[in-house]
Amino acid sequence: MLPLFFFVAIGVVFVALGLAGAVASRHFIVVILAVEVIFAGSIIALSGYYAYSTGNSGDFFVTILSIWAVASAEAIAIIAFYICMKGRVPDFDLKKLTRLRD
Amino acid sequence: MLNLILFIVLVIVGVFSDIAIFIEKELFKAAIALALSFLSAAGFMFLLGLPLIALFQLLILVGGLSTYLIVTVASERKVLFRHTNAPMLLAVFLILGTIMVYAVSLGTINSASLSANVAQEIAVSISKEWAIMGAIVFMMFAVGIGSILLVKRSIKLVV
Repeated sequence: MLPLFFFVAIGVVFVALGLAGAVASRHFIVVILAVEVIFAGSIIALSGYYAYSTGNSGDFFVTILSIWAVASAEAIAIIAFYICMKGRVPDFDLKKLTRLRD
Repeated sequence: MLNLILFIVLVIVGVFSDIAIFIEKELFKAAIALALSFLSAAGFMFLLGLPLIALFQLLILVGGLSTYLIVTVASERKVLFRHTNAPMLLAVFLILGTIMVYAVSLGTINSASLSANVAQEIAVSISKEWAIMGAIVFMMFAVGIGSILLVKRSIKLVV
């Protein structure tokens, strides 16, 4: 079996890439996709720690189900927002979306 | 040896698809890249000896969620503005990656203590906090249901 550090490291890379994308991107949907990448990275790290643990804790399944639920809810939210705003805004530039309140 | 080769292939697919999400001009291709990223995450779970979790990952995130996203953004045209600042992406990634790798490898969890004991402690600590987490999730659910009811009521008042 491969060392645990390999899986933790790739989880860290995914989370760092997602965070960097969320910071550096201006498009609303790309930011949400970046958050999904963060979820994927956290799931990899969590699975690694669980696979190398000796206990039979059910908390892992509860936690991973929670992560999946939050990721799915976020995707549904982005789809609803996209359908609602399509045609009302020319693009999903976050700089322009902040002016919608005016 | 086969596991190592598979791991390297999954790393290449995962990292390149993650980068493609941010540099791709078409949202359709970005959503497909996200599906590839989820696929590589499922592969890592399979390598860890968790085939059931990998299967659920495939079903929920790749089969369900990514499909919804792909179908939703399929009709979207190319993004006309430069949506991601590539130098900033690289800089933030390097800074955050360095900090997190330092925290994981050289901080409290060094290579010698990446053992079953650490994982066991993490599992126990999650167990202690689970009651609070469950309460927060329940409150969020209640707030969601309440907001839907309020919106429906306000629509009725307007009409």
